[in-house]
Amino acid sequence: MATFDQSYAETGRQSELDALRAQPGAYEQAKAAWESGGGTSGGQSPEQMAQSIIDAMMAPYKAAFDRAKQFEKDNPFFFDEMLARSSSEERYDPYYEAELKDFVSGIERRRSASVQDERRVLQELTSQTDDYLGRTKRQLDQAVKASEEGFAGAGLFFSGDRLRKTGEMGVEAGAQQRTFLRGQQYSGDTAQIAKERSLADLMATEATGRRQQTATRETALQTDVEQQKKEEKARYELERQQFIGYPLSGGSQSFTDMASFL
Amino acid sequence: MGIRGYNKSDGSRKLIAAYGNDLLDVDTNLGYSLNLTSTNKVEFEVFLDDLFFQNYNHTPLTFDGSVWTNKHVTRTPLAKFMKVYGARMYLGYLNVNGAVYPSRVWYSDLPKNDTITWGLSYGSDGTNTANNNVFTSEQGGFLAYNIKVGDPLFITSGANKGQYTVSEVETDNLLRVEETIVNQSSGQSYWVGGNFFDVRTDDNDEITWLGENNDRLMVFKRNSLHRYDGSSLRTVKGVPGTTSGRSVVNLGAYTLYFHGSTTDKTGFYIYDGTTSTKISNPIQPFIDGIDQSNYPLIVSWTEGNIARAFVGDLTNTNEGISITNCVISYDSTNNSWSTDPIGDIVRCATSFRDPEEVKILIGNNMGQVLETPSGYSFNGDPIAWVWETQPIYPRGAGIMNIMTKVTVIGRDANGTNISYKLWDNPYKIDDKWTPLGDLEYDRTDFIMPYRHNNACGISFRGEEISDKEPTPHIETIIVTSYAQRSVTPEVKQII
Repeated sequence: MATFDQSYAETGRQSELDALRAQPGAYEQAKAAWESGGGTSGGQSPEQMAQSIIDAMMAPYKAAFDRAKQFEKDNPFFFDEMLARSSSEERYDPYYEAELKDFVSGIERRRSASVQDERRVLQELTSQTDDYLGRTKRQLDQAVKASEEGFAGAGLFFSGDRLRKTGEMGVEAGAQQRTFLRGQQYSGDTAQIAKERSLADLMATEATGRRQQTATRETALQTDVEQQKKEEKARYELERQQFIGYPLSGGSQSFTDMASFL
Repeated sequence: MGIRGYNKSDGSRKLIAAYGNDLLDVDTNLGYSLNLTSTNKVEFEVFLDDLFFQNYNHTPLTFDGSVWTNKHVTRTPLAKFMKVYGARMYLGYLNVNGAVYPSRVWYSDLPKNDTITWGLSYGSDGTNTANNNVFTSEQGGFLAYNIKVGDPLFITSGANKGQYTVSEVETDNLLRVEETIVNQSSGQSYWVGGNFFDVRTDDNDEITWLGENNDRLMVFKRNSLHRYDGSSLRTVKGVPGTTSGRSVVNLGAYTLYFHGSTTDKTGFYIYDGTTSTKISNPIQPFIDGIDQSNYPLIVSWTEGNIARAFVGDLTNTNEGISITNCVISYDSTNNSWSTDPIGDIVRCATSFRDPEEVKILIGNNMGQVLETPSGYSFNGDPIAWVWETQPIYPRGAGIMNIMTKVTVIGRDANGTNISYKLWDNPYKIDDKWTPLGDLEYDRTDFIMPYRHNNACGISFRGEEISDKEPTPHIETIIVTSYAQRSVTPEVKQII
């Protein structure tokens, strides 16, 4: 002969059996009834008997559910996120603004340093160029003069050789000057490029930093708002549980879930 | 007119002369159809086994023994004078693309593959864009003609006229200059090159000859003389140059030349490697008789140790001198001078090895080339021969003499005309020669003219003109005289 549990299993009502087990005393009551009546009581069919048992069991839940509905109707859950965010911003923004200020001022310092470095390099290059041009011009003048004196002393001042020699000196000095100026130009360009690259890097760093800080701040704000919301929700749940009362008020299961179970 | 002997290294030789509007092979009397349109003097010079030609008008040419081409001289200044010195050819008194430089000397680059360039280019198609340093010319040949960095570029026409400095020679037709050429322009006349030096430029004078002495290039101007050693140019202090380049000849280690200007300066000078000295003072009356129009035309040549100079007609009325087509000769062995007439007007001279004998050749104004010395006539005309003695004072310069007879003893001297001058009679020296007569025997006596035989001293002159070999010898001249009176110092002072 089948047992009480087997009868539920064989009839495909395992979930009902699990529900009985979940309710303290319901399982024992239903089992006793099944065993005393050979499966049914009071002339009722076993199904009716089971239903009546279930109904008896579910009655307090329905009552609790109704109270929960009533509570929720009377006290709908409300959480003002804008207010919460505003509150969070008030608390978090001074910190992040200070952080951002520190970060940006660091960037600005480096940016200013880059510009100053470039300016100093260019000033130095300009100074070097002026010195070099002045020096080479003096040297060229002296060399030309010495050459001319030499040719004049040799009686060949009015000669193509003198013109060629002084011309060669001029051409050579011009070539050296161009080489030097090319080097200076390269150095200046290098300094300028370094500055521009540094500024671009700083700009990117600033943008990245700002973006990261904005994201961090937003995350913090959202976390805080969520936390506020969670706390508000817990408080609301506590009030609702208290309103629903014993035996169901101490559970952690929400009545929304219960409703889906029903 | 010009003449030059050309002996090639392969042994072939030609005597080339400029005549009319062509250059001729004197042996064949055939020309080369060069169509010379100028009557300028033609100068020749042999270098790198080729004969160079210039006449300051026609495109310079060179001759290899067969044809005249522009080898060596594709881009060369026009020049009046040429001279090989060291490993270069030098040109004097230039015309560079139309610009005249009377005091400028241009020299060639050093030979390469037995060919020379002149470091010169010029043209009339110089082109450039505005504010650029690129200068182009299809006529340029800048690389071919060896234009160098540093060379001056002279733009001689248009808005960019001026001097620039070559900074780069990129191609035959393109060069860059150190300066910026401001104005866009084309068709500009220009010349570029630096192988030159000026000799006292713009000093109211001009180059009249290029010579060589003591391994120095001698640059003659009319009024100054300069020597160049390849790296310096020095003026020979305080001496004149030459007025006739063709009067310059080297005589051993010396250079003899003529200068004509003021009386005190006119004459023949000899340069010894350091300075010049006027050596023609002993014949100054003859020098004074040279016509000034002949100062630029004097032509000299050498015959051994004797230098001869054709000076044209000599006329010195004060001294009783009159010689037609005179040749003045200077014998460096005994430092003696002689003056002789010659049959033709000499315009040029040269030497020519033919085949081993070195011939001295002169060209006259009739287009004839004559060898000298050769034979006993001048171009068929008899040659005059003159000799003079120093004054002879039978009893010293203080005793007046009555000279009654002159006896001349000689050999092969028949026909020689004897004349004399009286010295200190007592106040005068004869200006003119007084004839005594011809020598008729080996011993000939002349009775002195009664009205002209009283003097302290006497000098003699013998003249002969002949187309025969000159063989006379005068061995002795005897003056028969007696003392007339003393010429006291007091009398001398009165004089």
